Amino acid sequence: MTVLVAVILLLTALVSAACTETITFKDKLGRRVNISLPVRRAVFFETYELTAALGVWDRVAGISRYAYTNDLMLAVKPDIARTIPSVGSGFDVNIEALLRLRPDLVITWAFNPETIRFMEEKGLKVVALYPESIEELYEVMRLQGRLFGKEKKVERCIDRMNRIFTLIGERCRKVPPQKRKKVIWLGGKQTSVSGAKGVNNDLIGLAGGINPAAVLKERSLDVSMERVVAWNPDVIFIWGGAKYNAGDLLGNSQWRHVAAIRKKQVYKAPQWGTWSPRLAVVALWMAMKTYPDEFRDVNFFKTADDFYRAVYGISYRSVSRIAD
Amino acid sequence: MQTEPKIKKILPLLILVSPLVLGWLALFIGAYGIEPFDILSYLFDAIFNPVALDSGEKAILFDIRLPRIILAGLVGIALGGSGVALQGIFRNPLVDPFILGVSAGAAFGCALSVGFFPHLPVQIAAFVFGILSVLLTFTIARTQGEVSRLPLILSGVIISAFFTALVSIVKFLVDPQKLQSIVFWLMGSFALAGWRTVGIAAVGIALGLIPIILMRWRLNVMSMGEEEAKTLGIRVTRERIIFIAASTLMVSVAVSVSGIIGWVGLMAPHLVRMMTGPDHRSLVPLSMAGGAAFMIFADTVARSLTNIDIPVGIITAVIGAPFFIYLMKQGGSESWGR
Repeated sequence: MTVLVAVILLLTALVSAACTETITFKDKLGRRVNISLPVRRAVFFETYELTAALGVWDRVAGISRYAYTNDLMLAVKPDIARTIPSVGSGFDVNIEALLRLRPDLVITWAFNPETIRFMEEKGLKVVALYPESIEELYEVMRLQGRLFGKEKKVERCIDRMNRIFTLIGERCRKVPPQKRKKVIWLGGKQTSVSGAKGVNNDLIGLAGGINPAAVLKERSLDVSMERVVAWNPDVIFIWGGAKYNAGDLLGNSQWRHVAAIRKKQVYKAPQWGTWSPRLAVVALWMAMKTYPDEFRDVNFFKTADDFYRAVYGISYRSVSRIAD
Repeated sequence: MQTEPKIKKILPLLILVSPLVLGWLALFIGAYGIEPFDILSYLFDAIFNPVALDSGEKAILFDIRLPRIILAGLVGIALGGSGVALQGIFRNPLVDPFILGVSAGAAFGCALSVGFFPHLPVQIAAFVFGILSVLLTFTIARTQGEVSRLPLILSGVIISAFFTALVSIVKFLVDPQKLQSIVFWLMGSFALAGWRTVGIAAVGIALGLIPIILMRWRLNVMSMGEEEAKTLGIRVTRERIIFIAASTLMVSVAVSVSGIIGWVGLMAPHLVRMMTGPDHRSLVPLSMAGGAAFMIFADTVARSLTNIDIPVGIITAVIGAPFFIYLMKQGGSESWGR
């Protein structure tokens, strides 16, 4: 009898050991993190919009407080505030609340090494992320696919994004080099521009534009108004969370000689997070505004709607839409 | 020697015209890179040939560069004038225009507007709360109809601390992008200066400047001491209120258009005092001129030193502090006119 019990116990141990896989991932801070799969209780301080696409709500033990006011999260999971607890944000972690959730993985911003060290000392497994390009975004998405055993779904999502990027690439390639437009992305202030690093620059490149601010090697910089006017962009995109909008620039006499103002090509982007599959829709919108002639046969609303339904299972109508 | 008195005579005049000279030079400096000859011809056109054609370069010169230089000068006048008035009232060389809480109040106004009320312009919120905070300081300091110096300074410190804490709460609650907006506004900048802003600033600063200029000789009397001033017929409390009100108006307007720029209000009066003595009849206008000159210089450096538009408050501190130390070492005991 005891032999039988021992054998059963041994077999169980062997089987469960076989089911536990460990992957090693090198995060944004260069730390090598060993994560044992499958992940059952993850806490997301960042990149939570990806989870909305994967539909793994039963494995999300906690989420950033900013997710409660995110339009996509509310559309995909309207009861998010009641069902998934919040533990603060990447900047202000409530360590006791976090520990009480007994997470087996914490995904957070790469900006607070002290917080990450603190969490690790308390025995938590932490991955620090900060995608700065579309390639890095894919890497993060694939990681999440592996963590939750949803590799197929992630590949389908990436495929959908690539379809849109390919469409943009095809059409923009038709524009001859001398007709390429100069495009800049403005941030919180009218003189804050996006430089050579970061997703905004990638989006401009993807949309077939040239970013004159790419001489600046940083992600985002304040420059003097003269410099922006000297660059003379053909198209201006304004960050969705800025207090000013396109009308403010169009009506400002200081900008009257800038090509984008003369041709009325100033647009305010939607207030969407950048580390998300939604990037593809933003890129399409930007490309269509920059080179409208190349996209005359494309119905933006329908393309966006198809994308949202395929990736998130909701309609485009249910999230905050682009003003234009 | 014969040459010494001569320098002493023209020094005030030099200080008075320095903002104009620096402003003129600043017109030729900027990221856009306009040829000096073209600048001169545009200026000529503007005065003698108003129907000449508009152009991109003219727009840069007259709609971007010129209003920015003028605004910097106006803010320098406000900070220098307020600094000298408050230093005279409090008879304390460490006083700067923000001592009564105006900067903390304005910071809170900015944070509220950026964080929670996007439809409320930052300038209006900053101005209103700047004035409000000084009113609070004043109300707390008032005991039995008397407004004394020490209670004023103490309540200024309390109100500043209170509003700074409120700003921290707002910063904590809002998302990172808004937080960055608030932080950058607080560093001080003239990047968005235009003629409309210049107009508003000019009105507000003129309203504050005129009483201070007209009543500047009374600061000489008040700096003799409260008892002496009273025996000479000065109604100390009433005068204090007038000076504080005028100074607060000027500084609130200045902060609402440009953010919080430190050092100018502290340094300009000291520098001028070291050069031309403590008589407020000359000290007040010269502090205003010195403040304007310093501000124009700092802003020109801020917008043309590198590709980035450096927040001008950083420049004023980085240039101001070492230069001030140097002058203090040179000046010795003359640094406070004793």
